[in-house]
Amino acid sequence: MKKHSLQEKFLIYKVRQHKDADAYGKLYDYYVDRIFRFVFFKVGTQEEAEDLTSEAFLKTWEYINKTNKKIDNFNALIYRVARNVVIDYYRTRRKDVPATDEEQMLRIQDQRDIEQEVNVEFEIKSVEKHLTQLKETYREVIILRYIEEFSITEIAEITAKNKANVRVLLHRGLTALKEIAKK
Amino acid sequence: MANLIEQLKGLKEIKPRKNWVDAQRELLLSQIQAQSTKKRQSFVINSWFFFKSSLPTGMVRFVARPIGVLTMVSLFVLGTGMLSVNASRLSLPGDFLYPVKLTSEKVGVALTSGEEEKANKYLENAEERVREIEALSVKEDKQDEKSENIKIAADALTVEMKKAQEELEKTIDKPQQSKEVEEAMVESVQALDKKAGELSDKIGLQVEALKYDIDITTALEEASAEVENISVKAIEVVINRIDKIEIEISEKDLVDAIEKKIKNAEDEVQDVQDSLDTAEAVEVDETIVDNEGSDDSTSDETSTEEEGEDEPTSDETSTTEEDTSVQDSKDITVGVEASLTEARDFLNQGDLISAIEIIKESVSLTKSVKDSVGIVAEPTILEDVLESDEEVSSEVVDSEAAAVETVTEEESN
Repeated sequence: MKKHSLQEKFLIYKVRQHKDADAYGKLYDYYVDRIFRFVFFKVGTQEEAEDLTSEAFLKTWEYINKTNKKIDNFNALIYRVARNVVIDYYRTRRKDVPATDEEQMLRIQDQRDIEQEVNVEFEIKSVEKHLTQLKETYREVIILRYIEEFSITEIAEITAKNKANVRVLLHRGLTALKEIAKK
Repeated sequence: MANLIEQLKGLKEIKPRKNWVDAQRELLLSQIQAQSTKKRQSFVINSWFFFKSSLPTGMVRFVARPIGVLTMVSLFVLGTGMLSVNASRLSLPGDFLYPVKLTSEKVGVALTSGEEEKANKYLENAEERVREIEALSVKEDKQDEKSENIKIAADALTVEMKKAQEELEKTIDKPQQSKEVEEAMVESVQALDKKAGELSDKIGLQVEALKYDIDITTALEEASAEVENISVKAIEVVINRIDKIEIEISEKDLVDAIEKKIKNAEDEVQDVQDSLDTAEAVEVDETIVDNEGSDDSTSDETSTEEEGEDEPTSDETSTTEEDTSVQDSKDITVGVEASLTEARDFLNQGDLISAIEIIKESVSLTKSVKDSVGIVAEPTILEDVLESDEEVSSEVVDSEAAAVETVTEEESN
């Protein structure tokens, strides 16, 4: 399914008009991986990422059925909702005991289905590690730009910043990431 | 840098667990299923919504919406306009849609180019007025309303004819044009003359059918006179144009047409003469009645003579006045008859222009005689007036007799 494709619009139409759960299921199928990844890079743990992802999908459904505004871009909407969910999460962050590192490692292995060369694995691991050290504002735009491959316009829409701002953040983010990688 | 970006792209490999995704999907659907209803909305709303969502916002606001609105507005304006104009086609004076019909006729005239074509259009409208009068006269309606509506149509008919004449008047002085244009014009004016002839016949029938109402017949007579005028004017235009440019036109047709005009004018004069005769005869009767009345009053006592004498004297003078006016009118009609014979001579000599000039003059003279004497009124009306006069005079006689009685009583005392 292409971004903003007619099919996507039709699905949203069905969701809005008939509260069609199946249609929303299709949207979920298409976006769940990306939203999970987006959230995961923000919160760092798989458990939290899963919870927040499901929360984001539920909130998006509620928003679609509540608002009278036209939904031009579901893509931007769902990322925006996910972003807000994460922000809310940090605000009311519970200092609960997180899952143990061991558990987490196991899950990550499950989740990533890693059957790749050790070298590649190592690289990913290291970039991921570097990313976590990056400032949140930089990390966000870098993930959206290079992992999710969004355009500058789309990123601006999702993050509620202007395009020039996004470009500056991207540039600075990449420079900062390089610095971190050099260390 | 490139390496770094490549590595970042590699992070796409990070995915949620398959079983979590499936479990979460089921959970989500069960959560939202509770809210979902299979409410169906109307097809129009659905399609509009879908149409709207398939376009970018700006597109809807700046392109699709204005287009939609304009379409609706133009559909409304043109559609309802056309519908009501169509519906108004059969409307009659007094109907709700009648003004729409008149307006659409005006638009029709305004959209026509060429004076002669415009005149033709006016004549078509006039035909429509006659049709309305015909329809109204057989319509089941209150007599008052009916008469009023017929009167409206008849007056409108006169107006149409006058306008047609104005248009024709313009064509007379028009500069010469190419032969084709001139030919087309002459043809059109001839068609107009034909229409006028038919119209005149129809109006004649209506005058006959509606003669019970003086107002209507007067209005119709007036319209009829205008129709006659226009027909003469049409011939005049044709002759004028032919004079200016060599047009192949059947001379015989034209002569026949003028001949017909002369005949019509003669008939008209004859009618006027007949009614003048009737009027004269009635007036004679009137004088006789008056004289009888004065005889009664004068035959009695001398004391009443002064009162009784006043009335007959004034009556006599008025009768003489009328007599002279009738006489004058008769003289005019005789003159008209003579000049019509002259017109016929001109026609026979081939001087069409002179012939038509005389016809024009004759028609207008006849009309003025008709107007001045007011003999359009049916003789029956005059009789009515006469009857009421008689009543009055008999009452006068009664009171006079009573007066005489009292005088004689006083004298005997």
